[in-house]
Amino acid sequence: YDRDKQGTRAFRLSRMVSDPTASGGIEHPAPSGTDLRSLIDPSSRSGERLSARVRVAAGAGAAVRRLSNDELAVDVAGELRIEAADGGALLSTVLFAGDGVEIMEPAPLRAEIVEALSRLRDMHAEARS
Amino acid sequence: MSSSTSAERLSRMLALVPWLIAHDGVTIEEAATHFGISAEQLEKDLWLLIVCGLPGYGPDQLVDIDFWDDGRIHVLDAQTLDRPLRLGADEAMTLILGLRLLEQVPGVHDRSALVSAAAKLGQAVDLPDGEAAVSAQPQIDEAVSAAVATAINLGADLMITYASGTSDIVSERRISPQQVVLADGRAYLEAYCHLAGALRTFRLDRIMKISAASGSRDIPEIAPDLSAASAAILAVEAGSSWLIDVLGAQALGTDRDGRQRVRLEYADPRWLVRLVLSRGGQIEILEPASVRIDVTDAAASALRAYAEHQSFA
Repeated sequence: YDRDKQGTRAFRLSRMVSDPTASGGIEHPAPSGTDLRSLIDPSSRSGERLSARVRVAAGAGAAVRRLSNDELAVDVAGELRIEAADGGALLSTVLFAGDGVEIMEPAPLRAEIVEALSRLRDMHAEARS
Repeated sequence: MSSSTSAERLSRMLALVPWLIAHDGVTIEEAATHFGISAEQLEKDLWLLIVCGLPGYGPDQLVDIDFWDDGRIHVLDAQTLDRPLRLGADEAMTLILGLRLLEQVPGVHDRSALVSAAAKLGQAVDLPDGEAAVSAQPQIDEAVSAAVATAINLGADLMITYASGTSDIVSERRISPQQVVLADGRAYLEAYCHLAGALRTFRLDRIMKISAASGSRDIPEIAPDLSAASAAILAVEAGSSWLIDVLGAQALGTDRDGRQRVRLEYADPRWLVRLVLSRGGQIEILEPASVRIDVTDAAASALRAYAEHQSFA
Protein backbone atom coordinates (compact mmCIF):
# COMPACT_ATOMS: atom_id res chain seq x y z
CA TYR A 1 0.00 0.00 0.00
CA ASP A 2 1.56 3.26 -1.16
CA ARG A 3 0.58 5.96 1.32
CA ASP A 4 1.55 8.75 -1.10
CA LYS A 5 -0.57 7.30 -3.90
CA GLN A 6 -3.30 6.13 -1.54
CA GLY A 7 -3.46 2.78 -3.24
CA THR A 8 -1.88 -0.62 -3.76
CA ARG A 9 1.28 -0.54 -5.87
CA ALA A 10 3.91 -3.11 -6.89
CA PHE A 11 7.60 -2.17 -6.63
CA ARG A 12 10.47 -3.91 -8.34
CA LEU A 13 13.09 -4.56 -5.67
CA SER A 14 15.96 -3.97 -8.09
CA ARG A 15 14.73 -0.41 -8.65
CA MET A 16 14.97 0.63 -5.01
CA VAL A 17 18.04 2.83 -5.13
CA SER A 18 18.31 3.65 -1.42
CA ASP A 19 18.40 1.47 1.65
CA PRO A 20 14.86 0.94 2.99
CA THR A 21 14.24 1.99 6.56
CA ALA A 22 11.44 0.99 8.93
CA SER A 23 9.06 3.82 9.78
CA GLY A 24 6.73 2.30 12.34
CA GLY A 25 3.99 -0.30 12.45
CA ILE A 26 1.92 -1.60 9.56
CA GLU A 27 -1.04 0.74 9.10
CA HIS A 28 -2.53 -0.95 6.04
CA PRO A 29 -2.32 -4.73 6.46
CA ALA A 30 -3.49 -6.79 3.50
CA PRO A 31 -7.16 -7.78 3.99
CA SER A 32 -7.52 -11.47 4.76
CA GLY A 33 -7.90 -13.53 1.63
CA THR A 34 -6.01 -11.05 -0.55
CA ASP A 35 -4.11 -12.80 -3.33
CA LEU A 36 -1.00 -10.63 -3.41
CA ARG A 37 0.38 -12.37 -6.47
CA SER A 38 -2.69 -11.48 -8.51
CA LEU A 39 -1.95 -7.79 -7.92
CA ILE A 40 1.09 -7.98 -10.17
CA ASP A 41 0.32 -11.04 -12.30
CA PRO A 42 -3.01 -10.75 -14.15
CA SER A 43 -2.72 -14.31 -15.45
CA SER A 44 -3.00 -15.65 -11.89
CA ARG A 45 -6.29 -13.90 -11.18
CA SER A 46 -9.22 -16.16 -10.69
CA GLY A 47 -12.67 -15.38 -11.94
CA GLU A 48 -14.19 -14.76 -15.33
CA ARG A 49 -11.82 -14.56 -18.27
CA LEU A 50 -12.19 -12.08 -21.09
CA SER A 51 -13.50 -13.71 -24.24
CA ALA A 52 -13.70 -12.57 -27.86
CA ARG A 53 -14.66 -13.95 -31.28
CA VAL A 54 -12.04 -13.27 -33.93
CA ARG A 55 -11.49 -13.93 -37.62
CA VAL A 56 -7.97 -15.08 -38.53
CA ALA A 57 -6.42 -15.13 -41.98
CA ALA A 58 -4.83 -18.31 -43.36
CA GLY A 59 -1.40 -18.88 -41.80
CA ALA A 60 -1.62 -15.66 -39.78
CA GLY A 61 -2.23 -14.78 -36.14
CA ALA A 62 0.11 -17.35 -34.60
CA ALA A 63 -0.02 -15.71 -31.16
CA VAL A 64 -3.82 -15.26 -31.29
CA ARG A 65 -4.33 -18.90 -32.25
CA ARG A 66 -2.53 -19.90 -29.05
CA LEU A 67 -5.27 -18.14 -27.04
CA SER A 68 -7.93 -20.47 -28.47
CA ASN A 69 -8.95 -24.03 -27.77
CA ASP A 70 -10.84 -24.26 -31.09
CA GLU A 71 -9.42 -26.53 -33.73
CA LEU A 72 -8.49 -24.68 -36.90
CA ALA A 73 -5.70 -25.77 -39.21
CA VAL A 74 -2.96 -23.16 -39.33
CA ASP A 75 -3.17 -22.75 -43.08
CA VAL A 76 -6.93 -22.17 -43.02
CA ALA A 77 -8.78 -18.90 -42.45
CA GLY A 78 -11.70 -18.98 -40.04
CA GLU A 79 -13.26 -17.88 -36.81
CA LEU A 80 -11.97 -18.63 -33.33
CA ARG A 81 -13.13 -18.02 -29.78
CA ILE A 82 -10.19 -16.70 -27.78
CA GLU A 83 -9.80 -16.10 -24.06
CA ALA A 84 -7.39 -14.19 -21.87
CA ALA A 85 -7.22 -13.28 -18.19
CA ASP A 86 -6.34 -9.73 -18.99
CA GLY A 87 -8.02 -7.38 -21.49
CA GLY A 88 -4.80 -5.51 -22.10
CA ALA A 89 -2.97 -8.70 -23.05
CA LEU A 90 -5.77 -9.74 -25.37
CA LEU A 91 -5.80 -6.36 -27.13
CA SER A 92 -2.02 -6.37 -27.41
CA THR A 93 -1.98 -9.86 -28.94
CA VAL A 94 -4.65 -8.98 -31.50
CA LEU A 95 -2.91 -5.72 -32.43
CA PHE A 96 0.39 -7.60 -32.86
CA ALA A 97 -1.31 -9.68 -35.56
CA GLY A 98 -2.06 -6.57 -37.68
CA ASP A 99 -4.34 -7.34 -40.60
CA GLY A 100 -4.09 -11.06 -39.90
CA VAL A 101 -6.74 -10.96 -37.18
CA GLU A 102 -10.00 -9.06 -36.81
CA ILE A 103 -12.09 -8.91 -33.63
CA MET A 104 -15.75 -9.56 -34.45
CA GLU A 105 -17.18 -9.33 -30.95
CA PRO A 106 -17.60 -7.98 -28.35
CA ALA A 107 -18.25 -4.60 -29.94
CA PRO A 108 -16.48 -2.55 -27.23
CA LEU A 109 -13.28 -4.52 -27.80
CA ARG A 110 -13.63 -4.06 -31.54
CA ALA A 111 -14.04 -0.32 -31.00
CA GLU A 112 -10.90 -0.23 -28.83
CA ILE A 113 -8.91 -1.93 -31.58
CA VAL A 114 -10.17 0.53 -34.21
CA GLU A 115 -9.30 3.44 -31.96
CA ALA A 116 -5.79 2.11 -31.29
CA LEU A 117 -5.11 1.40 -34.96
CA SER A 118 -6.38 4.85 -35.96
CA ARG A 119 -4.11 6.46 -33.40
CA LEU A 120 -1.14 4.45 -34.65
CA ARG A 121 -1.82 5.32 -38.27
CA ASP A 122 -2.29 9.03 -37.64
CA MET A 123 0.66 9.29 -35.26
CA HIS A 124 3.08 7.71 -37.71
CA ALA A 125 1.66 9.39 -40.83
CA GLU A 126 2.79 12.78 -39.52
CA ALA A 127 6.04 13.90 -41.05
CA ARG A 128 8.83 14.37 -38.53
CA SER A 129 11.82 16.60 -38.96
CA MET B 1 50.63 -17.36 -8.05
CA SER B 2 47.59 -16.56 -10.18
CA SER B 3 44.17 -16.14 -8.59
CA SER B 4 42.81 -19.18 -10.41
CA THR B 5 45.64 -21.30 -9.03
CA SER B 6 44.95 -19.93 -5.54
CA ALA B 7 41.28 -20.82 -5.91
CA GLU B 8 42.13 -24.33 -7.10
CA ARG B 9 44.54 -24.77 -4.23
CA LEU B 10 41.96 -23.61 -1.67
CA SER B 11 39.39 -26.06 -3.07
CA ARG B 12 41.93 -28.87 -2.97
CA MET B 13 43.03 -28.15 0.57
CA LEU B 14 39.44 -28.05 1.82
CA ALA B 15 38.88 -31.47 0.25
CA LEU B 16 42.26 -32.81 1.33
CA VAL B 17 41.74 -33.12 5.09
CA PRO B 18 38.51 -35.20 5.03
CA TRP B 19 40.03 -37.40 2.31
CA LEU B 20 43.17 -37.98 4.36
CA ILE B 21 41.05 -38.87 7.40
CA ALA B 22 39.23 -41.46 5.29
CA HIS B 23 42.57 -42.80 4.00
CA ASP B 24 44.68 -42.79 7.15
CA GLY B 25 48.28 -43.86 6.49
CA VAL B 26 48.23 -43.11 2.77
CA THR B 27 51.64 -42.20 1.31
CA ILE B 28 52.42 -38.74 0.03
CA GLU B 29 52.86 -40.14 -3.48
CA GLU B 30 49.45 -41.88 -3.40
CA ALA B 31 47.70 -38.78 -2.14
CA ALA B 32 49.44 -36.59 -4.72
CA THR B 33 48.39 -38.96 -7.49
CA HIS B 34 44.78 -38.90 -6.29
CA PHE B 35 44.64 -35.11 -6.39
CA GLY B 36 46.56 -34.88 -9.65
CA ILE B 37 49.47 -32.87 -8.26
CA SER B 38 53.16 -33.48 -7.59
CA ALA B 39 54.38 -34.89 -4.28
CA GLU B 40 56.25 -31.64 -3.78
CA GLN B 41 53.05 -29.60 -4.14
CA LEU B 42 51.21 -31.91 -1.75
CA GLU B 43 53.90 -31.42 0.87
CA LYS B 44 53.55 -27.64 0.44
CA ASP B 45 49.80 -28.00 1.00
CA LEU B 46 50.39 -30.03 4.14
CA TRP B 47 52.90 -27.54 5.53
CA LEU B 48 50.34 -24.77 4.99
CA LEU B 49 47.52 -26.79 6.53
CA ILE B 50 49.35 -27.34 9.80
CA VAL B 51 49.54 -23.60 10.39
CA CYS B 52 45.80 -23.17 9.73
CA GLY B 53 43.23 -23.25 12.51
CA LEU B 54 40.67 -21.41 14.53
CA PRO B 55 41.05 -17.90 15.98
CA GLY B 56 43.44 -17.89 18.88
CA TYR B 57 45.77 -20.00 16.73
CA GLY B 58 47.38 -21.72 19.71
CA PRO B 59 48.74 -25.25 19.45
CA ASP B 60 45.35 -26.69 20.39
CA GLN B 61 43.54 -24.68 17.74
CA LEU B 62 45.60 -25.62 14.69
CA VAL B 63 45.19 -28.49 12.25
CA ASP B 64 47.71 -31.18 13.14
CA ILE B 65 48.97 -33.62 10.53
CA ASP B 66 51.91 -35.99 10.84
CA PHE B 67 53.51 -36.67 7.46
CA TRP B 68 57.25 -36.62 8.01
CA ASP B 69 57.97 -39.66 10.20
CA ASP B 70 57.42 -42.60 7.87
CA GLY B 71 56.34 -40.99 4.58
CA ARG B 72 52.73 -41.74 5.46
CA ILE B 73 50.09 -39.18 6.34
CA HIS B 74 48.11 -39.23 9.59
CA VAL B 75 45.61 -36.48 10.51
CA LEU B 76 45.89 -36.02 14.27
CA ASP B 77 43.53 -33.07 14.69
CA ALA B 78 41.32 -31.90 11.82
CA GLN B 79 39.74 -29.04 13.79
CA THR B 80 36.59 -28.22 11.71
CA LEU B 81 37.79 -29.74 8.44
CA ASP B 82 36.86 -33.33 9.22
CA ARG B 83 33.84 -33.37 6.89
CA PRO B 84 33.70 -32.54 3.19
CA LEU B 85 32.70 -29.00 2.35
CA ARG B 86 28.91 -28.82 2.10
CA LEU B 87 26.84 -26.59 -0.09
CA GLY B 88 24.46 -24.16 1.54
CA ALA B 89 20.76 -24.82 0.94
CA ASP B 90 20.45 -21.89 -1.47
CA GLU B 91 23.58 -22.94 -3.37
CA ALA B 92 22.34 -26.51 -3.69
CA MET B 93 18.86 -25.36 -4.78
CA THR B 94 20.36 -23.13 -7.45
CA LEU B 95 22.46 -25.98 -8.78
CA ILE B 96 19.57 -28.45 -8.76
CA LEU B 97 17.23 -26.02 -10.53
CA GLY B 98 19.88 -25.39 -13.19
CA LEU B 99 20.36 -29.13 -13.70
CA ARG B 100 16.62 -29.75 -13.92
CA LEU B 101 16.25 -27.05 -16.56
CA LEU B 102 19.21 -28.39 -18.51
CA GLU B 103 17.64 -31.86 -18.45
CA GLN B 104 14.76 -30.49 -20.55
CA VAL B 105 16.94 -28.89 -23.21
CA PRO B 106 17.64 -31.12 -26.19
CA GLY B 107 21.21 -31.46 -27.35
CA VAL B 108 24.19 -33.71 -27.33
CA HIS B 109 24.73 -33.66 -23.57
CA ASP B 110 24.25 -36.80 -21.48
CA ARG B 111 20.80 -36.34 -19.95
CA SER B 112 21.17 -39.34 -17.64
CA ALA B 113 24.26 -37.75 -16.08
CA LEU B 114 22.28 -34.59 -15.37
CA VAL B 115 19.43 -36.56 -13.81
CA SER B 116 21.88 -38.52 -11.69
CA ALA B 117 23.77 -35.41 -10.55
CA ALA B 118 20.53 -33.65 -9.56
CA ALA B 119 19.38 -36.71 -7.62
CA LYS B 120 22.68 -36.98 -5.74
CA LEU B 121 22.64 -33.30 -4.90
CA GLY B 122 19.07 -33.65 -3.65
CA GLN B 123 20.12 -36.48 -1.35
CA ALA B 124 23.19 -34.62 -0.17
CA VAL B 125 21.23 -31.57 0.97
CA ASP B 126 18.33 -33.67 2.26
CA LEU B 127 15.52 -31.92 0.40
CA PRO B 128 12.32 -32.10 2.47
CA ASP B 129 10.03 -33.19 -0.36
CA GLY B 130 12.53 -34.98 -2.54
CA GLU B 131 11.71 -34.59 -6.23
CA ALA B 132 8.83 -32.21 -5.61
CA ALA B 133 10.98 -29.68 -3.77
CA VAL B 134 12.60 -28.39 -6.97
CA SER B 135 10.57 -28.57 -10.13
CA ALA B 136 11.52 -26.96 -13.44
CA GLN B 137 8.82 -26.98 -16.04
CA PRO B 138 9.89 -25.25 -19.24
CA GLN B 139 7.30 -24.71 -21.94
CA ILE B 140 9.03 -27.05 -24.36
CA ASP B 141 6.93 -29.97 -25.49
CA GLU B 142 8.63 -33.28 -24.69
CA ALA B 143 8.01 -34.54 -28.24
CA VAL B 144 9.77 -31.46 -29.63
CA SER B 145 12.64 -31.88 -27.23
CA ALA B 146 13.10 -35.56 -28.09
CA ALA B 147 12.81 -35.06 -31.86
CA VAL B 148 15.36 -32.23 -31.87
CA ALA B 149 17.84 -34.23 -29.77
CA THR B 150 17.50 -37.22 -32.08
CA ALA B 151 17.88 -35.12 -35.23
CA ILE B 152 21.03 -33.41 -33.92
CA ASN B 153 22.55 -36.73 -32.90
CA LEU B 154 21.74 -38.43 -36.22
CA GLY B 155 22.30 -35.43 -38.48
CA ALA B 156 18.74 -35.77 -39.79
CA ASP B 157 16.25 -33.19 -41.07
CA LEU B 158 12.94 -32.28 -39.46
CA MET B 159 9.59 -30.94 -40.63
CA ILE B 160 8.21 -28.32 -38.26
CA THR B 161 5.14 -26.14 -37.98
CA TYR B 162 6.45 -22.91 -36.55
CA ALA B 163 4.71 -19.86 -35.11
CA SER B 164 7.03 -17.00 -35.93
CA GLY B 165 7.34 -14.29 -33.31
CA THR B 166 8.66 -11.90 -35.92
CA SER B 167 6.02 -12.18 -38.62
CA ASP B 168 3.21 -13.75 -36.52
CA ILE B 169 2.81 -16.28 -39.33
CA VAL B 170 2.47 -20.02 -38.88
CA SER B 171 4.49 -21.89 -41.48
CA GLU B 172 5.65 -25.39 -42.28
CA ARG B 173 9.36 -25.73 -42.88
CA ARG B 174 11.97 -28.36 -43.51
CA ILE B 175 14.98 -27.66 -41.32
CA SER B 176 18.43 -29.14 -40.80
CA PRO B 177 19.16 -28.74 -37.06
CA GLN B 178 22.67 -27.61 -36.08
CA GLN B 179 22.64 -26.95 -32.33
CA VAL B 180 20.55 -25.81 -29.39
CA VAL B 181 21.55 -22.64 -27.59
CA LEU B 182 20.25 -21.08 -24.40
CA ALA B 183 19.75 -17.34 -24.11
CA ASP B 184 17.80 -15.33 -21.54
CA GLY B 185 16.34 -18.50 -20.07
CA ARG B 186 14.94 -19.75 -23.38
CA ALA B 187 16.08 -22.56 -25.64
CA TYR B 188 16.63 -21.84 -29.33
CA LEU B 189 17.37 -24.21 -32.18
CA GLU B 190 19.83 -23.04 -34.80
CA ALA B 191 19.07 -24.75 -38.08
CA TYR B 192 19.33 -24.37 -41.82
CA CYS B 193 15.83 -23.52 -43.01
CA HIS B 194 15.08 -24.88 -46.47
CA LEU B 195 12.10 -22.51 -46.79
CA ALA B 196 14.21 -19.41 -46.17
CA GLY B 197 17.33 -20.85 -47.79
CA ALA B 198 19.45 -19.64 -44.88
CA LEU B 199 20.36 -20.27 -41.26
CA ARG B 200 17.53 -19.39 -38.90
CA THR B 201 16.97 -19.49 -35.15
CA PHE B 202 13.79 -21.10 -33.85
CA ARG B 203 12.44 -20.74 -30.32
CA LEU B 204 11.68 -24.29 -29.19
CA ASP B 205 8.47 -23.34 -27.39
CA ARG B 206 7.11 -21.90 -30.65
CA ILE B 207 7.44 -25.17 -32.56
CA MET B 208 3.83 -26.35 -32.78
CA LYS B 209 4.36 -29.65 -34.60
CA ILE B 210 7.44 -31.68 -35.40
CA SER B 211 8.25 -34.86 -37.32
CA ALA B 212 11.16 -36.53 -39.06
CA ALA B 213 11.65 -35.41 -42.68
CA SER B 214 11.91 -37.92 -45.48
CA GLY B 215 14.88 -38.03 -47.82
CA SER B 216 18.50 -37.21 -47.22
CA ARG B 217 19.94 -33.96 -45.95
CA ASP B 218 21.06 -31.53 -48.61
CA ILE B 219 22.37 -28.21 -47.30
CA PRO B 220 23.98 -25.76 -49.71
CA GLU B 221 27.11 -23.98 -48.59
CA ILE B 222 25.99 -21.48 -45.99
CA ALA B 223 27.17 -17.93 -46.46
CA PRO B 224 27.79 -16.00 -43.26
CA ASP B 225 25.09 -13.52 -42.35
CA LEU B 226 26.81 -10.18 -42.53
CA SER B 227 23.72 -8.11 -41.82
CA ALA B 228 24.21 -5.95 -38.75
CA ALA B 229 21.46 -4.99 -36.33
CA SER B 230 19.71 -1.71 -37.10
CA ALA B 231 18.70 0.85 -34.52
CA ALA B 232 15.48 2.77 -34.05
CA ILE B 233 14.64 5.80 -31.92
CA LEU B 234 11.34 5.41 -30.07
CA ALA B 235 9.17 7.64 -27.89
CA VAL B 236 7.60 5.53 -25.14
CA GLU B 237 4.64 6.51 -22.96
CA ALA B 238 4.61 5.60 -19.27
CA GLY B 239 2.16 2.74 -19.83
CA SER B 240 4.73 0.86 -21.91
CA SER B 241 7.91 1.98 -20.15
CA TRP B 242 8.33 -1.50 -18.65
CA LEU B 243 9.25 -2.64 -22.15
CA ILE B 244 12.41 -0.51 -22.05
CA ASP B 245 13.92 -2.90 -19.52
CA VAL B 246 12.49 -6.00 -21.13
CA LEU B 247 13.90 -5.12 -24.55
CA GLY B 248 17.20 -3.79 -23.25
CA ALA B 249 16.67 -0.41 -24.93
CA GLN B 250 19.07 2.45 -24.23
CA ALA B 251 17.48 5.42 -22.46
CA LEU B 252 18.21 8.74 -24.18
CA GLY B 253 16.16 11.08 -21.99
CA THR B 254 12.66 12.40 -21.43
CA ASP B 255 10.80 14.47 -24.01
CA ARG B 256 8.77 17.57 -23.14
CA ASP B 257 5.57 15.58 -23.45
CA GLY B 258 6.80 13.17 -20.75
CA ARG B 259 7.54 10.30 -23.09
CA GLN B 260 10.85 8.51 -22.70
CA ARG B 261 13.12 8.57 -25.71
CA VAL B 262 15.07 5.35 -26.22
CA ARG B 263 17.32 3.68 -28.76
CA LEU B 264 16.45 0.10 -29.62
CA GLU B 265 18.44 -2.31 -31.76
CA TYR B 266 16.46 -4.70 -33.93
CA ALA B 267 17.27 -7.34 -36.51
CA ASP B 268 14.00 -7.44 -38.45
CA PRO B 269 11.82 -4.37 -39.14
CA ARG B 270 8.72 -6.61 -39.35
CA TRP B 271 9.17 -7.45 -35.67
CA LEU B 272 9.56 -3.77 -34.76
CA VAL B 273 6.39 -2.84 -36.65
CA ARG B 274 4.38 -5.51 -34.82
CA LEU B 275 5.86 -4.51 -31.48
CA VAL B 276 4.71 -0.94 -32.03
CA LEU B 277 1.28 -2.11 -33.21
CA SER B 278 0.87 -4.25 -30.11
CA ARG B 279 1.22 -1.22 -27.82
CA GLY B 280 -1.71 0.53 -29.48
CA GLY B 281 -0.09 3.96 -29.81
CA GLN B 282 1.92 3.99 -26.58
CA ILE B 283 5.12 3.69 -28.59
CA GLU B 284 5.96 5.92 -31.55
CA ILE B 285 8.77 5.26 -33.98
CA LEU B 286 10.73 8.48 -34.44
CA GLU B 287 13.43 6.97 -36.65
CA PRO B 288 13.94 5.43 -39.13
CA ALA B 289 11.38 7.01 -41.43
CA SER B 290 11.00 3.78 -43.39
CA VAL B 291 9.65 1.95 -40.33
CA ARG B 292 7.30 4.86 -39.56
CA ILE B 293 5.84 4.34 -43.00
CA ASP B 294 5.61 0.59 -42.42
CA VAL B 295 3.67 1.16 -39.18
CA THR B 296 1.32 3.59 -40.95
CA ASP B 297 0.69 1.07 -43.72
CA ALA B 298 0.20 -1.85 -41.31
CA ALA B 299 -2.30 0.08 -39.19
CA ALA B 300 -4.18 1.29 -42.27
CA SER B 301 -4.30 -2.23 -43.68
CA ALA B 302 -5.74 -3.62 -40.44
CA LEU B 303 -8.28 -0.80 -40.28
CA ARG B 304 -9.57 -1.65 -43.76
CA ALA B 305 -10.89 -4.99 -42.51
CA TYR B 306 -12.83 -3.23 -39.75
CA ALA B 307 -14.25 -0.74 -42.25
CA GLU B 308 -15.35 -3.53 -44.58
CA HIS B 309 -17.12 -5.46 -41.81
CA GLN B 310 -18.92 -2.68 -40.00
CA SER B 311 -21.87 -5.00 -39.43
CA PHE B 312 -19.95 -6.59 -36.55
CA ALA B 313 -19.79 -3.31 -34.65
